[in-house]
Amino acid sequence: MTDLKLFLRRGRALGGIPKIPFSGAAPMPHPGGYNIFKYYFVGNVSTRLLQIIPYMAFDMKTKKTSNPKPARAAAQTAQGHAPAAISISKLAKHYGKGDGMVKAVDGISLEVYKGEVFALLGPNGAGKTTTISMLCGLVGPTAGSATVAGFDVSKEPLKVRQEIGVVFQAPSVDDLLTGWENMELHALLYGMGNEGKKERIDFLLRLVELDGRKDSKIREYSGGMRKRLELVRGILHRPKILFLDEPTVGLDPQTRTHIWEYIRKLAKTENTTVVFTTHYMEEAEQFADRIAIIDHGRLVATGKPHELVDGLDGDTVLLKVNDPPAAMRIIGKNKSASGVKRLDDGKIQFTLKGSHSALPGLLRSLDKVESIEIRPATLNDVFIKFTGRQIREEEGEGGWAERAMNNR
Amino acid sequence: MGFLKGAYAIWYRELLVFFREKERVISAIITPLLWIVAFGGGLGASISVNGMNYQEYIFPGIVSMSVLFGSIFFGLYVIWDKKLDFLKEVLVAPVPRSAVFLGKMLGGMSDVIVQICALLIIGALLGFVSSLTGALLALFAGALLSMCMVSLGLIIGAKMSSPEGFNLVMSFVMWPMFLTSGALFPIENLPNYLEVVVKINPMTYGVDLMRLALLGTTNFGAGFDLAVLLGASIVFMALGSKGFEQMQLS
Ligand SMILES: Nc1ncnc2c1ncn2[C@@H]1O[C@H](COP(=O)(O)OP(=O)(O)O)[C@@H](O)[C@H]1O
Ligand SMILES: [Mg+2]
Repeated sequence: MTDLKLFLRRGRALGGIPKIPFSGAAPMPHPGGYNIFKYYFVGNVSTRLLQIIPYMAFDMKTKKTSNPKPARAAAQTAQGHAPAAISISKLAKHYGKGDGMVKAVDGISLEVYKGEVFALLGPNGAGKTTTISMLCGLVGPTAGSATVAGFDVSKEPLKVRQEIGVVFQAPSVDDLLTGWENMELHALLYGMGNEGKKERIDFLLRLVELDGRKDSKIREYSGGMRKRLELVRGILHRPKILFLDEPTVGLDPQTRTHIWEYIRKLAKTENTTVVFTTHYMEEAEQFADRIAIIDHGRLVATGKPHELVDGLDGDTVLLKVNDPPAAMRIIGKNKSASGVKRLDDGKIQFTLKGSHSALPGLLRSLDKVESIEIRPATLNDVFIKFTGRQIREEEGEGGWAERAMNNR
Repeated sequence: MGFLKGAYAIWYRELLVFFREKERVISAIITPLLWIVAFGGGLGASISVNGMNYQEYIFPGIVSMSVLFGSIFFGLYVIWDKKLDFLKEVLVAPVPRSAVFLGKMLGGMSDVIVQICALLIIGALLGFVSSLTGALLALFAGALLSMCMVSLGLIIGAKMSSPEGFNLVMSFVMWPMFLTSGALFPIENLPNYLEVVVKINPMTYGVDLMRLALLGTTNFGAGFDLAVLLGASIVFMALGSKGFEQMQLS
């Protein structure tokens, strides 16, 4: 049996919302992992409902986690989370002076725990890259402090750098050198000994399927290949913490999926704490254990993806009923429902908290329901709630691959 | 330890890149040849300096010139590293900035030394280099001059944020240094009011040392030339390391 919430969320993350009408018992997940968002109830609703209810009740009892990603192994403390790998306190970076001053990062405080995959989610210009740059000591903070892998970034930048790996938003491989040479150079820069070096480089290149092209110059690599090389290069020296700045920006969807497979494989085999930035909600939601949403250099919200979404007023429900005014009265009285309104096409729209458990009861109290549509709340709704805006999806500053190709 | 390894890594990278960019190697040798053959040959038909064939006279100057231009251009190349963001990979590594500077400087010197060798061999074939000792001394003088000039180039490269500044550096640094150094004509021929410029120009002493090595004539004496070049190198290296420490990435 599948947790309804779980697979609603999964479907959302995958973007497409196939409308699969169903009539019968419990909804079945689509074999491809896509699933059902719309339930059509035609005819006598109450009998159909009875068939759904046992399914729902089952879910409530099992209370399975609704995070589709398997929980990562991390040493848990008494507080229920691993010790901090990164702690940031009131970190700020201002560029320029006077009227033209830009508060790229405007006082962010947060902790990243050991072993977790952490996302910094925010639109372009939110201050994600600046934050990462400060954490790896490339940019000095205007105010505040940060401790990375136990060292203060301002006071002991070299020690911090020894413990971290960084994959930048823009390409930073040397395109006159071959893949192998770039890796070797990295090993030298991080003071790695010769012992086992060759084997490790070979292993990592195989992992991202670049072993066949290791003696080609980077110039002859595609954008995706460069990114893959940068990924394994970032992890070559076995860093405790890996920073990934927009790891998939500008890559096509297929390469993007691959890159994420690699990142997860890497993080798992090396037990690395991963901090990545993204402006794709699905990416944060799908791959992060915890997310910090930032906007205009400020922290808007932090939490596990499902916690953030659960903190909202609920999912949006659309009903088509026989007697809308009567139904609206009943829904208005329901404690879990809010924002009830009638749409132009006659449907009733409202927000329902805990829809998977609240909906059956509500439906039972209604007379005749012809169709139901549930739009699960997303991180986008979280962003809208805190900022009043949408996360823009366009890539204003040019994608990674695009820049990679434009250079030289 | 990390310092030396880091510097070595950067140096190694510069070497790999240098030999891979064949156009750079070739143009670095062709340009000075043109100067010797076309300029030296053309003017030399009607001029002799201190009773010497003009081509022979300017050969040490042209070698010094290619050291100057090669070195400063190498320093300015940091801008391309910045543009390509490769520099980020280096700057985020656990290597002190001063080691990055040292590696870069050694890389630049190596490139220039390869060029000097090529020019000296060609010079020997054309009859401008009379002895092996002379050639080795010239190589040493060139290396010292390039240590000084690569450092200067790196100071400028670390400060500059875009290639647009190139022309300014050409007009206000490279050409004045070249033309007031005595590379093409005896410095006594320059107007008096330029004397200060001639004297504070480190290139003057590089040319003088080079000429001493290849022709046996000098204006200031080997000791003074060496002292000035070493002093200038130390100052530029200190400033360059500092510049690298303060270098901001956009
Ligand atoms: N070197 C810089 N000089 C001036 N402004 C900058 C600089 N770097 C970033 N900014 C500004 O800081 C803000 C945050 O930028 P950034 O951290 O790159 O955002 P993100 O990575 O989230 O897209 C932007 O408004 C950007 O224009
Ligand atoms: Mg960014």
